[in-house]
Amino acid sequence: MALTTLEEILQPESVDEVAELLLSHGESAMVMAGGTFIHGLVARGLVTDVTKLIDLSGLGLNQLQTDRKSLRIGSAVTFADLEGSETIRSSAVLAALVDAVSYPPQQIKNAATVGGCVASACPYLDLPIVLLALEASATAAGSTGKREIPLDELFVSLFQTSLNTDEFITGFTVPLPSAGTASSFEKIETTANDLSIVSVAVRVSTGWRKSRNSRIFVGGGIGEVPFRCRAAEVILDGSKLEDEALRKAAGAAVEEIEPFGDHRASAEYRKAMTGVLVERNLRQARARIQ
Amino acid sequence: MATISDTVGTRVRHHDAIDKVTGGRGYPVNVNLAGMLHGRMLRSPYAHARIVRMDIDEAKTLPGVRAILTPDDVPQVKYSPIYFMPTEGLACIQDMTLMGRTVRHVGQPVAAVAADTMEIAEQAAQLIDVEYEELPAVLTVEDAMADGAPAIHDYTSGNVAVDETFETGDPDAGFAAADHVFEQTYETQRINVCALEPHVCVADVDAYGNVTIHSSMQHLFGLREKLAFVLGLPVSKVKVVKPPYIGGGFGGKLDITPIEPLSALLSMETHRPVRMALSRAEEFVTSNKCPIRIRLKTGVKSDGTITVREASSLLDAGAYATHGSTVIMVHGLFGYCFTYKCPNRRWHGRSVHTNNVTSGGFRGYGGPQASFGVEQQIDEICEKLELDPVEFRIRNSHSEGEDHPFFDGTFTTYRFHECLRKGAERIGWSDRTAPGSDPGPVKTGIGLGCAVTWTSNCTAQPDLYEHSGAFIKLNPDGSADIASAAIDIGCGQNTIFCQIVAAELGIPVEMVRMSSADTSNVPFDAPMHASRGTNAVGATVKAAAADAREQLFRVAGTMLDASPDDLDAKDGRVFVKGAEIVSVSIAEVAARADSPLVTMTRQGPQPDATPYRGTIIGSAAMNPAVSPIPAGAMFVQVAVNTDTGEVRVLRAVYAHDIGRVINPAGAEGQVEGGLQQGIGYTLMEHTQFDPETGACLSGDFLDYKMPTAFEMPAEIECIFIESDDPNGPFGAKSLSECCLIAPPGAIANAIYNATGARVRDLPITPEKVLRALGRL
Amino acid sequence: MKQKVTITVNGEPTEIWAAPHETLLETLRNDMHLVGAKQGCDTGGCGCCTVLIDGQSRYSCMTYTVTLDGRDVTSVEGLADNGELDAVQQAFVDTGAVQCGYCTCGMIMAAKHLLSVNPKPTDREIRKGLSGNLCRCTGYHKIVEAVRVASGQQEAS
Repeated sequence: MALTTLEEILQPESVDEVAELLLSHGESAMVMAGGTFIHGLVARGLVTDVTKLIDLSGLGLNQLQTDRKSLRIGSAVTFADLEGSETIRSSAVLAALVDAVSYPPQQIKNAATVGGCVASACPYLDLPIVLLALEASATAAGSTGKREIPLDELFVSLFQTSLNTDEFITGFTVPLPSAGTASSFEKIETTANDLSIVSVAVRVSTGWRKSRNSRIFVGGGIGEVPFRCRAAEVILDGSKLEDEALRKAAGAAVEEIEPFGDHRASAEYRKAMTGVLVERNLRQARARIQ
Repeated sequence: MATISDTVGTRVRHHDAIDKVTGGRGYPVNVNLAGMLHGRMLRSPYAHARIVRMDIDEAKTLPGVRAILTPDDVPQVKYSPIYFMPTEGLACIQDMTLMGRTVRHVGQPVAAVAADTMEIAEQAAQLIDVEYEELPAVLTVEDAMADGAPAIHDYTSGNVAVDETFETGDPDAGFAAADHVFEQTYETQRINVCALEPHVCVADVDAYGNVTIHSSMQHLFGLREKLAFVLGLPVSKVKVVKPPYIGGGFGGKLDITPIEPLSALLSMETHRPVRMALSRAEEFVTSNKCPIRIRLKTGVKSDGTITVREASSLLDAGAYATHGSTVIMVHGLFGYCFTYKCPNRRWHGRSVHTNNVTSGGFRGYGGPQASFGVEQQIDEICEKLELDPVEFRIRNSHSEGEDHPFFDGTFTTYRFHECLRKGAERIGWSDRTAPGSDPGPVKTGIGLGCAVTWTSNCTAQPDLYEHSGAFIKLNPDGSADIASAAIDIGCGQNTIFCQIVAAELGIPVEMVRMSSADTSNVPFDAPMHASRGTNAVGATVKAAAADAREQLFRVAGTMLDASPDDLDAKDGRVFVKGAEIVSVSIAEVAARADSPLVTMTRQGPQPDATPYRGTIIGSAAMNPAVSPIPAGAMFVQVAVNTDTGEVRVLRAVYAHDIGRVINPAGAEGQVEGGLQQGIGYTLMEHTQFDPETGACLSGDFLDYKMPTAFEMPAEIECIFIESDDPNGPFGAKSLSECCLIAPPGAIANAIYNATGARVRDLPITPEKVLRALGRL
Repeated sequence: MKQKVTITVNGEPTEIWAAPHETLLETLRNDMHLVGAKQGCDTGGCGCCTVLIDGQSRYSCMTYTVTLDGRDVTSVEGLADNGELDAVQQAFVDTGAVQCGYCTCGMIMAAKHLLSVNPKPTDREIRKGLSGNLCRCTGYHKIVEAVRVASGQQEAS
């Protein structure tokens, strides 16, 4: 059903203007980038009182930039942009980004943005856990200026982020560790056009031939916010990423996660599949380390 | 088998394909009349409740609102919505009301609004204030049949709408004679029809009270009869306009929905055309396949001869009886009893009311639910007795020429055994390995499922419509128009009818068109359902074309100075048999029939030698004498990932005794599409409801999964075992439904062959596979 | 309150006044009477409404019209040139990929995007590229074949 309460779609041309609009309209305004998530919410009757949508497509936030230390992803970069970026495609560190955006159908890839995918704080979406595994931070702009928010401080609960009412995400910074680091993402879905039943993103690094600073995150409807498998990470760190370590880490992930069940899959299945996906992803990431 | 003329048996392109690839303007969803209003419904949030009070004052004041209907404003007559069951029919349970004061499922309409735009109508509907008195609801068949369960309708006992038994021979003696008795329960789920064009209609009531309606449906005359009945009008006051084609039917558009009568009533109220369309979410509470649980008990001798077949089926009809009351019978008599022969049979079927959404029709109509159990149980028997499943099926099934087990007549053509053997050969049946023998976590397996004896008219119920009618008109340019109430629901019926007429008249298929029609200008036709199009409608258009040809030859005879009996026609010309050089074009003959009797020339009026004048029209209105019996065997190869439980169908071979193939490309499309629905039904599709509230949990394509191109096997082989059935047009039998009846058992059996996991309830999700493997 | 935008639709710059909640699908179907894009679900789940925006396949039911000022929209009506079918359209006709046809226009537009970025896709790439479009009739078999034919990798049977 149409969002009949909508009075206007505002099309600001600067970041400051967006912040001003958010400040003046408060809860009655919502920012929109690709629009795919908002349409989904509207169609299900989950957005009813919004009178203004603020279109972020005219701010020039669709840039991808890299330097030696980090990748900068503008919040309006689409999945198709990410998938098509040679820089990202050739990077073992960033491989999980390409893994994740390869799943959705092309029409979604062409519209959906990285910023929208993260800011929606929807537990079924894939990029949040990838960016978490990559230790990314979000840049938030608001009426009082900009601030960096580590991604693990962003997700509060279902559809809730720690952004203030007048803030929105302008982009993400993904650190690029030195060689010896790789990432991977894989999910379980029913068809090639589905939300995740379980999804896992990992990043592993080897230094002095020992693994360190690993990251394992699980998403895809296992809880209101992404889950970090800390016990599994501990097992991995200090190991040589040998098969046995990967298996143990997967086992630990299964032990520590307490997913919920819904009509799409039971908690038991999600728990078991967490183990399968953690191990598969770790193998994949290990194979990608140059 | 040789082609007939140049049309029958050839891959003729669909006649509407160019229209459909450039925009497809013919769908009912595109009907847009001047001054048209838009209607929306308000639906009940409760599974069972009584409406105590309704307040429409606030909704009425919304600018743009033109009319609001509540239960007080609509006829409270009870009816059955099924198009193919006449309202006065014998086997028809009349328990539905257009908008009653009692709601029996979540999503039942309680009010309707017409407004200038869809948005205003929706807003107004949400402003209607309804006070409900909640009643106790029952959401499972067990709860509905339990002692002291609340009665959903007052006409039933224990909420059982239909309770029927069927018995032949001596089942008890059959069990006594058996060496082994097998007993298992198989369960199928509720799935949605998912025709991509939602239900949509535009009703327009004129100043005389005549109702004209456009609708996306499978039966012109059914809609006329039901709409007239609900509105209390004579049928002559209702005109249903035939759409050039609709966006899919699959049995989901075989009954009147609330939108047709509501839009007509809103049009009467506002004196403007009113359009109503269901949203996708509304579709999920409207057209779902009947869930059935079937308990099978089969006695077998050690050599593999079946001595007795016994079953009991329990169907969740949901809030209203409708299709549930007929699906249960078709399921029992044909889906279950008919497939494999055995003198001793006993079947007990019940269709039970619950406060779930109303169950409806869907391709196969009770057949897939039966075959899922029957085909699996056969494999379970074969494994225990160490028999080959192909040979077991051949041993226990009918052969060509045998008597029909229930009715008069014989299996005129019937090549089921050939289907099994050819299919087995193509899939590599003899290389089949034992369950779970593939090394590694991904295991492959082969499985077989069959669908036999399935076509319309088999039920022989006295009040089941089966007849068709058609007109064929020849034009002065040598082309022919077909007028018929038969609707092309997507299977290419229009093309097939054009091919049949072209072959009968001896004109190129491009010269035949399906013309427009409505209920006032064409004969009655039964619904486009039950795999009957090619066979029953095809026979009728062929008879009408034969009638036209007779007149064509009569006129041509005067032009060629030959007896009509000595004439034949091909390539657009009528010629003298044995002297093809003596010929005249069909265009000339048709033009002569249309031309004036006297031509004015300078020499004065010249009378024409041909005495016959008047457009050449052929007509037929008839009932097929017999519905010839098709049969099919589906073999699939699957890969099962035993780490995740995920199943992929890698390959499918489907062999079908189709009679003569009229259009091979169209026939392949039926097989390929049936397999897709079968994969969806078997592995993923499930319309789910909250077990506490009865609210739909899978109301869109994010939560309701059906296969995309990515889940389909790359290799689908169609083998058509052709026969020339004396009762079909050019020997054609039928196809559509078998294509969905065969896959569920085949896929389930293949999963077992791959892994040793036997899953007896649909859908076979990855989770159920892992549980069956003991890995969850 | 309606907002004005100028959108190039099938090559013609068009001035459109649209309500803010109006989707491109509604604009095309209701205002411009271009009914090739179909409504199938309204939630970006079926693909029947697929059109190209600046050459990229998009769900028109998920796109607000007023955000498209200055953009270029191609619907299926914009493919045929003077009555001559586009290669993808022709391949759908020739292979028998059209049954009920309700998904067809969206499917063709998805295929157009795919072939524009990947002129010789493998079967797997075709199936993946069409995974945003549902069909209930065909089993996709002849649709995949049509895309192979349109890309010159196979003759129509």
